[in-house]
Amino acid sequence: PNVKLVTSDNEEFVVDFRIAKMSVTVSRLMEAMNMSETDDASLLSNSIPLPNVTKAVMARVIEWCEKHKNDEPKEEKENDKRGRTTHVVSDWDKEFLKNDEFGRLCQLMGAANYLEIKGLFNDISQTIANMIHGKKSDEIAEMFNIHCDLTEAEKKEIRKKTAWCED
Amino acid sequence: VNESTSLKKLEANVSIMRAMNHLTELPDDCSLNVLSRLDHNDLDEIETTSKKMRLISDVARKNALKTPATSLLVKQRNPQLLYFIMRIGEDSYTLQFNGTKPLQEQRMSRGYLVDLIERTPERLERSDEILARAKVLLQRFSLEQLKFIAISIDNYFLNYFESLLRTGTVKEFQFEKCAFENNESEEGQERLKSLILSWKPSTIRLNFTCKSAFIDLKFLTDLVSAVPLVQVTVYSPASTPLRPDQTFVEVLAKFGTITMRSLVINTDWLIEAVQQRLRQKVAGDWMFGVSTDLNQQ
Repeated sequence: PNVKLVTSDNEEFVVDFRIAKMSVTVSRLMEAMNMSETDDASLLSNSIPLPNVTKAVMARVIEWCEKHKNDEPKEEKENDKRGRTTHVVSDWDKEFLKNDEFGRLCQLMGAANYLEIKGLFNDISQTIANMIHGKKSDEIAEMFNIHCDLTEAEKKEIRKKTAWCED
Repeated sequence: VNESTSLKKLEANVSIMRAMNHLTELPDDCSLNVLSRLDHNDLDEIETTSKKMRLISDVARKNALKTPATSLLVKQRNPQLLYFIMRIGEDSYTLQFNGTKPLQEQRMSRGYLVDLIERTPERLERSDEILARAKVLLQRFSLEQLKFIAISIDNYFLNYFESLLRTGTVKEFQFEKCAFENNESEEGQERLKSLILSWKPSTIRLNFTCKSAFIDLKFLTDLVSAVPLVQVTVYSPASTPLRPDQTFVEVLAKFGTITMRSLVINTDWLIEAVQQRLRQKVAGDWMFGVSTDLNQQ
């Protein structure tokens, strides 16, 4: 059975029921609309509106879901007592995300967050974290085009607070 | 004019594209998720990029990856001079605090400081600042061992120790030649014991220069119930010996390692305790000595 998903720019995507169910948000909406796998009529007569996702982003989300539709659900591992999580991005996912500019990654992350697709969300979050790791503040600001609204005095104060060892 | 208009349009488009690229454009929970995957050094850099990033970094630090460190030693030389010595693998970092400039402005430098002079704890000045410094280190490092030497334990210290339990990851605590402020404050002693019990360290060494029985049978019983097979060393030269009765067999049998000179055990039931301990089939040490007032028992 297939499910119709409609994006913010009115593009209709017809996807397999299993793929639609990978999104917790879509899954909840289908339940609310009494759409079930065994009831073809309910699936044909209804479509799921997704006002926070554009056509371009939805296509990417579906591409990721197609690849992962048979995956076992996996939990992120706790890395230490404080509960920090680590996520290993698979080779396919690295390849899938490597050509996305940061702006597109953010849009995709926003969509994964809204659609509640945990695996995709973690993949993107870890990919962005890997991009930041080991960079200096000016490199990070340039890479992500962050407009700095801190004064030099404020920056100095922050550095004073966080530094623990002489350079 | 046309060229100027086109240029302005192009600049506007570039500006829109750039705005879309802002890390700060992500919803806060998404940004927090990203930053929570970084370590403290990365967060130091992120913090100075913008006000929003500063706020999110502060929250992310709670889950940030800590750098493993071997030990942090905090030693009081006199009321005005204090050392912090941290070891990370083969490297040592030292900070001497003598009160001439605020501790917050001082940084650790490479090198180990050898100071073998033993001191009696004296009232510590500006201990709140000192403890704040140690807290910064503990937020950043996961320590195998935290050792306090010749520290005068006051309310500031206890508040800090309590905050450590929420912040730090320390496996072993050592108190070496420490004393309580206000000369044997019973309230302070009880509070420290209660904090140790809630922390549940796998190894603890308690060496206090106080006359009262700071470590009592109830504390030992509670400790071994909270941490089975705990490794404990207690040294309090001036305290009165503890003389548990046979009901202590069950408690004694649960200690992984115990070294406590002032614990006087009756040999009538000692063997029973040793047998129970051996049945646990876990390595450890019990050190026995013959007490100076050994009688018929």
